[in-house]
Amino acid sequence: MMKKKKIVTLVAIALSAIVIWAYNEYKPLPVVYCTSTYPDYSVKELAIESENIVYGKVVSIAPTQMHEVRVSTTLDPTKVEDVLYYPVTPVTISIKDSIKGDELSKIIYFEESGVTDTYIQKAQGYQMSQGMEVVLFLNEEGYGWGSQSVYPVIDDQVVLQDKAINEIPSNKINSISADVIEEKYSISSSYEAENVSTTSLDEFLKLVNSYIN
Amino acid sequence: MRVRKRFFILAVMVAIVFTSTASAKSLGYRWSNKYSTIYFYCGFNSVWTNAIQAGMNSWNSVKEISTSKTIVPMYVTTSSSKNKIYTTSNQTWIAKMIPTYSGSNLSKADVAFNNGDYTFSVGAAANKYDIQSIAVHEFGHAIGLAHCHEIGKKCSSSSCSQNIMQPTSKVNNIRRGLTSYDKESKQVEYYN
Ligand SMILES: [Zn+2]
Ligand SMILES: [Zn+2]
Repeated sequence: MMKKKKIVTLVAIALSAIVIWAYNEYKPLPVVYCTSTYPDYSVKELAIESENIVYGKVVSIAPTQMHEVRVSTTLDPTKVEDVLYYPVTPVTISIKDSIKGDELSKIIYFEESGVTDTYIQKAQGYQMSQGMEVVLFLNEEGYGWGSQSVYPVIDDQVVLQDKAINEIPSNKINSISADVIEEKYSISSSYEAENVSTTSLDEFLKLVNSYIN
Repeated sequence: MRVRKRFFILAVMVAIVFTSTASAKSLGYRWSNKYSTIYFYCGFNSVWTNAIQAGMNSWNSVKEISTSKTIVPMYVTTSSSKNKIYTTSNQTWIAKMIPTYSGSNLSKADVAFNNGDYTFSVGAAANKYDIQSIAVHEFGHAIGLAHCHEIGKKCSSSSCSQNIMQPTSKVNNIRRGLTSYDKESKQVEYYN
């Protein structure tokens, strides 16, 4: 009887050890959130700062690249002494409409996200996914100003952000359920709002054009 | 009966190992030793250095509730340190904390201020970012805190617009003081 108990206990300890080992060996990489601070831009400021404003569709997402940041320990950033890196994901957008900048058929947007050896960097706000339609505000190198540069488009409705809401006439603002966004783009499981404000693509592009012409 | 009890104890032990301490306010990592001081090399002039240390001091004043001890105190130093404070240019962000991770802990934190593309000031000034306001935000990231929300998502905090851990920063604006949300975020992050 005593022997049996001992065996059961030993087997239980051994099983636990195996489970703990397997967990450590195969556990998913920890997920990390955005650590950048961007200027608080209105749509107007974004329109002015951007080199390219495009409406298009995500056609491919490349593997993570490490973005180089040349840094100085002095107050003169041109006295480069060191290089830091963080992950970015090159996302190819097939352009339906070039709103600002050269008429292009494709553009690469560098999303601040990716997978490294030790962690997964989540994009701020709306993460790009295959087939997603977006309006993007980009600089000459294909970088945005955080998630405020990214406007997902769903069924010809542009998903607005707080500041954009103030720039569009209130009778042009619609509302859709956050579930609709999640179903279509699997943007983020942590989406907390029940409803999000939208406006028609035409109305949004009219606003953006008014700032750049 | 005793066998069952042992199984139960083992199950609890395994469950403890599996339980994640991550909270919504966390980056996903923290420093392993919550009582040891984190030094950041800072080779800037006294105007910048003092503003940065003042930003760190806001966090240093947040104590652990159960012990009243200072958690992850941060100080600038002119001696060499693995963590460094930098300037940079050709980026769209104003500032960024660039972490290095080891297992499930932060092992190094560098902070870069982009004074090549943006202009900084001491206090509120037109078209400039207050150094201390930006510093207090970045050093919140350096202890492992995430933004209170991301743009496009609903904020979980009623004090959001005053929170240091808001995702964006304004020119000509001072936002230096931690809200109770910010303080609690640090206490929650280093709770156990
Ligand atoms: Zn931040
Ligand atoms: Zn918030």
